Order: sequence, then C-alpha cells, then structure tokens
Amino acid sequence: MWLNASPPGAAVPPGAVSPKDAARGAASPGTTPVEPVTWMTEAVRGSAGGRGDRPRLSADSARRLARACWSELTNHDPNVFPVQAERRGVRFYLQEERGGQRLSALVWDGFQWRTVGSLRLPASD
Amino acid sequence: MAVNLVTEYKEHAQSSTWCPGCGDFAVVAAMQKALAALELPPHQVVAVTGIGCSGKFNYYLGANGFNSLHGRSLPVAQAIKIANRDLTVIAAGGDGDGYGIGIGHFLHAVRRNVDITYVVMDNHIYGLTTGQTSPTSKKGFVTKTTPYGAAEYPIRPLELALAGGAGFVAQGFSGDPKQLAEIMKQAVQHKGFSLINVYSPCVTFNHEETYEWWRQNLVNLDQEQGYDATDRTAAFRYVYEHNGLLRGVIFREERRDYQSELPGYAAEALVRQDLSQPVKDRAELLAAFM
Ligand SMILES: Cc1ncc(C[n+]2csc(CCOP(=O)(O)OP(=O)(O)O)c2C)c(N)n1
Ligand code: SF4
Repeated sequence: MWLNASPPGAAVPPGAVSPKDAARGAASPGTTPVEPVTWMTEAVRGSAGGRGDRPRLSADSARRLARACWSELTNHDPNVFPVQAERRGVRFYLQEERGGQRLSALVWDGFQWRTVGSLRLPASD
Repeated sequence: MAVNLVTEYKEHAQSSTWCPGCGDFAVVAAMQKALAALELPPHQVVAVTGIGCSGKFNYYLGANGFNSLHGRSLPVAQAIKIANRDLTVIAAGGDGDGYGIGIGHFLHAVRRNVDITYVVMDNHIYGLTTGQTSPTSKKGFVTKTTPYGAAEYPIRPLELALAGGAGFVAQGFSGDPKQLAEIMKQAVQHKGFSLINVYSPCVTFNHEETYEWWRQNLVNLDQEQGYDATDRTAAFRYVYEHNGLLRGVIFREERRDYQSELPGYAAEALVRQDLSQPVKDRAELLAAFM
C-alpha cells in the first residue's frame, strides 16, 4: 500500500504536500493511497514541460513517460546517488528517509527546479 | 552491529529540509555508515556545524550536535575534543562557511592538528542564501552577486591543507557514497586533523556543476595506478595538475596530534579530571602575574 499521496500538478496542485511541508515530512491531509506511476503520470501531465512551453501530453503518453521514469528509479545502481529520472522538464527523485522512501516531483521554472509534490512510500522489505 | 547502528543514527536524526537530490543527503548517509562500520554509537560522537544548508548536518546525522556560528565550527569542535578526547568529533559545513568566513580557523586547525575530522560539503555556491558566488566558485561563475562572472580565482582548499601540514587530506563526491563512506572511515580513524572536501552538488542553484559534470570530470584516485598518497610533494603536484578534480585519499601521514604534545593531557580526558585539585597551582600562577 502506498502512503500519504499528494498528486502533483502544474504548480503546487490541490491536495499536494507543499514543498516546505513535503521537506518536513508532512503528509497531505485526507488523501488516499496512490500508486507511484499514477502519481507520476499526474506530475507529467500537470507540468508537461515545466514552463508550459511544451504541449500538454495525452494521458497515455504521460503514463508511458511516468512508467519509464519509475523503471529508471527502481532499477538504479544502489551505489550511485541520487536516484533520479528526468523527462520533459519534470524531474523525480527517490530517496531513503526514516521509515520509508520519498518520491519527489520537481519542475524547472526557468531558473531553478521547484518541488511541486512528494509521495511517501513505505519501506521496501 | 553496523546495520543496527545505522538505524540508531537514523532514529535520532531529524527530518530533513534539504531539497530533494541535494548532495548533502549522501554525505550524511555515508557518515552514518562509516561511524557504524567503526562501531561508534551516536552517544560517542559529536557533530559541530556552522551556518548554511550543510550546517544542518548535525541535525540529520543523529549523534550529539552543536550548531555554532557561521564559520565557527572548527574552534568549537577543537575545544570539545580537547575537553573530552573520548568523543569522536566531526566538524562539518559548506565552502562558504569553511573557506570564506571561517578560513582563518581552517588554516590554524590544519596546523594545530587536533584529532578531529572536518567535512566540507563543497558545492561552489552559497545554497542557504539562495545561490551566491562562494570562495570556491570558479572564475567567471555567474550568480546573482556576480552577474558578469566571478572576478576572483577560487580558494584551493586541498593545496592549502597540504601546504599547512595536514596529515590526512581527501576528497569525496556525493555521487559515489560508497567511496565517500570508505574515505570517512579512514579519516575518522586517522589520529590528528583530517580534511574531507566533498563535491556535493547544489541541485537547486548550481546548474553548471551537476552530478553528471562531476562524474565526467573527476579522476578517481582509487583507479590511478602508482599514485602514492604518502608523498606530500607528489600529492601537491597531482592536485595542482588536476585542478583539484580528484576523488579519493590524496595524502596521509602519521603525525603526533595536538593533544599528544601537551604534558599531562594523556592521563585522562579533561572532563573526567578533578579540576578542584590544582587550586594551589592556580594561586601560584596568579601570583606569578602580580
Ligand atoms: C556572520 C554571518 N554572515 C553571513 C551570514 C549569511 N549566510 C548564511 S549561510 C551563508 C553561506 C552559506 O554557504 P555555504 O557555507 O557554502 O553553505 P551551503 O548553504 O551552500 O551548504 C551566508 C553567507 C550569516 N548567517 N552570518
Ligand atoms: S539549496 Fe542547494 S545546498 Fe541547499 S539544500 Fe537545496 S540543493 Fe542543497
């Protein structure tokens, strides 16, 4: 089961954990468990090129892209930091944290990468 | 044992406010692994920091911590070690903290050789204050404070440490946490001052020196045939010729540390000594000044 889901979107999407709260490890209130690829698909759809200078992706393309990123994140060399995947102005990091992992989505805003949401995942066994 | 100790460190650590992907995460994780491998539990370790994103190292390490002033981690760390030599003392901070405002302390800590480890998370930028040029930024580096490019040449911390007589000089890279943990193990075991400069990318504000850039540009000393880390002159030349773009143990030498030079120090940690005893001596000492 996936915990503390906060679907990301163009800026800080409704229901998402704000970057500040995400950094503090906060959970988004009242959200339901979400599977990472679905969550990442929303991130890709919501930003699709960061500054909006690229067309919004179809649901299918966004999902394919999210799946590719998830596969990259989960097949990462364990001796290399960070665990990162990037497509179309959206970047994902998967990081260990106390009691689990955190998947973060960031969007390039023309000056810096901004965290737009984060998803807490349970510890991998 | 080591795995359990890593968990113990993590349990004592606070939740991080660093940006996702920040190189400093790997530095903390590597230090937890190194300390655990050396079977040093959190209560025997103290981390002292200055100010900066990297200044939060002590909050996230999960050992004892002391967050000092900007650029002042080294005097505090040395004082702690001198007062209680039974503690493993780690000073940590950024390139702005250590090589800018704290450079005077750095040079004196190198030559003084108190038995502490100094970890500098060198991202060539001020992270906490949102991306200004730092003392290690390369010449021409463009930031908010240097819109036409940095006019100065960067500080060269490895050469400074070597020239100052440091007994252990190493450089790590956050992108290779395994090598970093191994370097940290050796640095903590080294008797005397040890410097680990870590190239630790700021993913938010430094868009030139990315993980990819470092990966392509750093020479790994572990793979350099014939490199002799016990030859100071050769180490100096190597660092200079590679413009500091190395990772691994650069130089090591056994030297008597500061404490070993102090008469009476060896008996017991100062914090355990009965300081009520030498009252007479103090009176004599005072009298000598009258
Ligand atoms: C006496 C003083 N001067 C200036 C500052 C502002 N300041 C805070 S952190 C910092 C530099 C941080 O850069 P660095 O040490 O490289 O650490 P990073 O944030 O990159 O990890 C500065 C200038 C301060 N806190 N105190
Ligand atoms: S601003 Fe840079 S140094 Fe600071 S936490 Fe973010 S990535 Fe790390």
